[in-house]
Amino acid sequence: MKNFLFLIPFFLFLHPVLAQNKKHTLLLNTGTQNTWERDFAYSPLVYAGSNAGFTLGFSGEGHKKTDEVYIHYSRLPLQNQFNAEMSATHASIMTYTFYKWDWLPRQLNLGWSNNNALSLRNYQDSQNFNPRFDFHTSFGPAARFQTYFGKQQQWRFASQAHLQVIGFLFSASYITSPPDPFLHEQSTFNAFMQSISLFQPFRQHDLGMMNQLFYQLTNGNEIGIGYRWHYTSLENAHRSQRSGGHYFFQLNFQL
Amino acid sequence: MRQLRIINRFLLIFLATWTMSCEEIIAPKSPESSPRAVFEHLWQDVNNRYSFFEEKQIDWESVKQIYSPLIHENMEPDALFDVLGEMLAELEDGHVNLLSTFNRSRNWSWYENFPLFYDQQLIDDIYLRTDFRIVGPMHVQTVDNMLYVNYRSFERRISQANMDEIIRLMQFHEGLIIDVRSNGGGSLQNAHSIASRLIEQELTYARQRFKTGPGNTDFTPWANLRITPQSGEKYLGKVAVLTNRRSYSSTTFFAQMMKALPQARLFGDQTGGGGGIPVFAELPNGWTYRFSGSQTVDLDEVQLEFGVQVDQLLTHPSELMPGKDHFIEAAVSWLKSNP
Repeated sequence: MKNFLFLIPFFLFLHPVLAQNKKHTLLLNTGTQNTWERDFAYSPLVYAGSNAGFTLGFSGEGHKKTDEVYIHYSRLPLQNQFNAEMSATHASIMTYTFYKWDWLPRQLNLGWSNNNALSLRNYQDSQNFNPRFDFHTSFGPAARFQTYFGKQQQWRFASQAHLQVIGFLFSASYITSPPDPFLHEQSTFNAFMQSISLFQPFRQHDLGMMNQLFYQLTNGNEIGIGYRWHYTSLENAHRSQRSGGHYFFQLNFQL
Repeated sequence: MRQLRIINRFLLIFLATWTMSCEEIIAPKSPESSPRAVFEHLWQDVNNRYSFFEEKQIDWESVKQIYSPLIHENMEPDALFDVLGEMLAELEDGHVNLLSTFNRSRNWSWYENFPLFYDQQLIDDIYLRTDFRIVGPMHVQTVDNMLYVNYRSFERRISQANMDEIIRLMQFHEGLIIDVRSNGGGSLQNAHSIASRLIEQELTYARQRFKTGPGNTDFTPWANLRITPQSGEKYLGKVAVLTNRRSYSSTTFFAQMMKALPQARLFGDQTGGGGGIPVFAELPNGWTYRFSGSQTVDLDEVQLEFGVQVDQLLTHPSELMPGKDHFIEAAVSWLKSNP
């Protein structure tokens, strides 16, 4: 219990931040997503391709704290250099929490992020144990730089980045799609608990960055363009790697 | 002050532009695909994940010593393919293949040196004739008041409606003969579709385990393989199942299901095996390959990889019946003799 006492001042600090009035925004974006992916359980070759990616987001911005949630989905037909095909499905819920510290320049916010990401890989030439998958939940620091410009400060440029350092990983096994504990008789809960492994710093990697440029309309809504990049490398029974760049057009609606 | 702001914005735009296409900048290079690299990749992956080294007493390291000197950097793709195919053939496993755009290596020793005791022309002329029923993928005919079901490939789907019809037909027949000779396998689901209509209670028929690491003994714990009864009408009478050495993979699993069934009896020759589920993978030069990644044993701990033995072996030349299929005749006799 003593170990958790340090949380008390943290929550005391957090309360005024949570209690403040916030500006809420709904975010919608879509655009081309370029991706490459490699799963050493099946192939040392890189599969690459592009398709449309979609994101639904929500932002709550207060004087001291900003919360952002991005729900992203994309389904991509990827090919290797020999034209073998793989269907990749990516889904993620990414959250950012940024704090405005007095000791930092006004444009710079620091905070933390949480990524909950699923990757499914369906190889055309693999008849069994398909699709292979990874799911990870991870946490790490995040930073955001945001500046306004233009005669009426109607332009906004934001750049934010995250690096995940700790979390959990749930992924396909050495041979099969389901993790090994699901292959013998025991409760689903036990099998699930035994399948979870630690997202370890330096062994697993998840980092990303997002640049956005917005123009504010007279009604307070924003239109903009952006680029979101991520890189993930996970090692469990085998190593899998993927990276994607999403070029998007975005609408922000004030709620 | 104004100049500083302009410089700042210029730097920002530069940074934002520079960080675009990051995914392409960090994309890994293609792996080396020289004959040596391809050989090493294939040997190593099979070494790590193939599931029957101990059971087949294969020294994979010594196999490498034999085939590695045959690899040289300037060899043509078809020459490399032949060496790799021959190396994989050392595993004597029908679930091991190398696939390229120009060939597919294989080892069919599990049936090539054995008589198959299956003559399709004889079956068509004497037993199926021209008025047989086609129930989904099954050819069905009445033979001596028994229902004869000829099923050529487990790749062809059997629906519940197909099995409803088979069960309905059993009202008018004294026994059921399922002929899966020379059936090379396919989807295990089809085997379950048949077997689940022949039982009233859940039945454990085998146990299975999967590789979990590179060590020869790295496996999951054994897990029971079961058949669960389907809802709907069932046939619980006697079943004769005909197999031969070319009954492979899912057909071996089906034979084992039937062997575990008290009212079923296997006739003919043992199945060819194929008790390991094939894992698929890809080489740095784009060729694909597959190999067994699991083991399955019967209830007496015998590996299905080496085939399911029949209850009544009919391979002796003296048992042949000119102009007739002696497997079918033996099955009919058994079905008639013990009602």
